[in-house]
Amino acid sequence: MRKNILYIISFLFLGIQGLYAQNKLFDKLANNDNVTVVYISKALLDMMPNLEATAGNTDLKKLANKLEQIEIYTCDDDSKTIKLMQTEMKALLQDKSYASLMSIKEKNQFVNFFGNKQNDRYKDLIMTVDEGKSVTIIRIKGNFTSDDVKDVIKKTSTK
Amino acid sequence: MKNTVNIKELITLYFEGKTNTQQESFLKEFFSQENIPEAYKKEQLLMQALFQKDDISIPTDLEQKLHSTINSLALQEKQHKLFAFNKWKWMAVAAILTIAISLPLYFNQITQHDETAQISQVDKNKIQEAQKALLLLSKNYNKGLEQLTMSQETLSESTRALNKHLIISNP
Repeated sequence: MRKNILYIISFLFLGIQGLYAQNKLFDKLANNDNVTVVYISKALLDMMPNLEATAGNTDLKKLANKLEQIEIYTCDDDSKTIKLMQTEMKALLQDKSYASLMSIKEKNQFVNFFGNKQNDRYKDLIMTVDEGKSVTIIRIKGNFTSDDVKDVIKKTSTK
Repeated sequence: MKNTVNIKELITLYFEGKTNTQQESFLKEFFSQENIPEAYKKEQLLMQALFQKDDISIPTDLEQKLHSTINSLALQEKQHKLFAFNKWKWMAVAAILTIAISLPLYFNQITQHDETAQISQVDKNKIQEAQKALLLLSKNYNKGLEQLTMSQETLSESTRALNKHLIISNP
């Protein structure tokens, strides 16, 4: 019984450490002068539906309503910072709190998806786009499903 | 003759109001007869009507009844006026309440519109960035899922082809 309790506490501790490590990563990027950071809070997301929520075959409102925040980290033409971001993204693969969902390679562009899922709903979804000379990380946090992400762009307009 | 003169005198005195009760009774009795001299036929109807009027009795409580009717009419008029006043009073209250409720709602709408209009350019830019980010994310997500679907189809076809080959080589 004591052993079981110890195991549970250890796992919890590791999980918290994982989350803490993630926040540390993004804090590191946010504090870097060569990284452009855009942080969109729930308050601004709530305003989004009133300002051109739909454009063409898009439905941003459905996903935006379920998000708590969006973080966008971008670095262009600074090789050191780009390398740092690439290294950190590889470290993300080792992180057990995030599952690697998919990787897409198209011409010179590498796209990776990492997700933190609970009961078929995403709490955290990260997309990294590595184009060699620029790296973009988009992180969305909230309570949404895979269909919510898919339905942002209707099938007819995907290429 | 004596009776005829007497009757004429009596009629004159009657119209002057100088007859006593006895004389009035005599006149009443005379004109109530059917066979009276022709000279008095014309006056008979008038005298009969006058004497009939004298027969109408005035109820003793008439004055009381009149008073109570006048009072009730006065009360009705008063109540009608009060009702009219109350009706206007309630309409005024309803109008005030309507204005009191609708004005804040109207100004609240204007305030909300103003708030939206007052979003800074920086926030507008952030929202546009967020929109672009979500579009990019969804586009790549869908691309990945499409590739996954295509891969699954390719895998299924390959499995079918392999199975066919196995069946042919091992009949």
